[in-house]
Amino acid sequence: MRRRYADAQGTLKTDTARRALLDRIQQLAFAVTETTLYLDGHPYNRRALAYYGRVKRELDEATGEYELNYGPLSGMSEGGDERTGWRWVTQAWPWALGYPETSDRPEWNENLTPAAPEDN
Amino acid sequence: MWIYEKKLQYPINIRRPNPLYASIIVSQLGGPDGEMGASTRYLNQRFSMPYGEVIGILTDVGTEELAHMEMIGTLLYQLTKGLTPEQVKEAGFDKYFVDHTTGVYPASAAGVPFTAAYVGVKGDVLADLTEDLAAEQKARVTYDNLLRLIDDPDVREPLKFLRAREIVHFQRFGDAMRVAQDRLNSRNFYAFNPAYDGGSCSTETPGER
Repeated sequence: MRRRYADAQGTLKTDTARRALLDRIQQLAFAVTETTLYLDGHPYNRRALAYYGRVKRELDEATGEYELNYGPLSGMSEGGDERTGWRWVTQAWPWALGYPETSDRPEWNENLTPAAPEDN
Repeated sequence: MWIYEKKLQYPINIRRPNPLYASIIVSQLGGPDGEMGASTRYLNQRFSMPYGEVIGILTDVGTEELAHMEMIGTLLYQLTKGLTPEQVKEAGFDKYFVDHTTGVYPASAAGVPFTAAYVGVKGDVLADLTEDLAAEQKARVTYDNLLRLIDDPDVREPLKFLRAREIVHFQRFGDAMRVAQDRLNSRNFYAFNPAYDGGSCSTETPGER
């Protein structure tokens, strides 16, 4: 599904829901990373263990929702089929301006809607 | 970003420590064609690469090279486990030992510390991919040479696995080269750099337009 469009004035609009969900994933992943570092030095801390369990579960849920709606965040979670193609390489990469909805590389925007597979 | 998984890509269990082997295998960590240079080269080349398929190959090969760094580190750890100072001297491992004990330090077999000079990033699609194809062959030759010098099957099997991966990576970079060339102007592949000049091809010499 194409999530990027131009309004009547030709201004490029982006899917704010997608950006907002990725923001949330980045925040939760940071919380998981930070708690991981703390637990590495305090492996039996009850509060940290409980906090880790909560944010990790929220991260897994948000990641699942994102990948179901928009595409893979990891090559190992790519669930592409012959309709979508291997979205791991047809969708934009995170260093592009406007990621994840748009890209400063036009060829990646064209690929937001994957083409039907060719002979192979 | 990256996530670490607590497993080796291929199992390593060395029953007979051998510091001589460690002193030559270390080149595949920090030597001119080692795994550290490989991962750094590919992961850094990605930013200027304009084609999604090629970025995917650079990302996934570069990530696998990080796992190969870990395998080389594991080989070095197990090959130098429990050595006495006498064994260190007998094997000629003393020159490494005096600076790094049995720690894993990225250097070549001749003791030259790892340097970013081993990492080719030109910011040009064909130059970078050609670099990568050569790098995989050079790494394969280094594994060939290690296998000429090493008898222990516990050490040879992981090295043979790593050698085979260099060949597969060479083939995948061949795919990357095909993807890149398919998008270039057939009249002259070298007329422009799609990583810098954008998607349009001019037949003029760069700098003269």
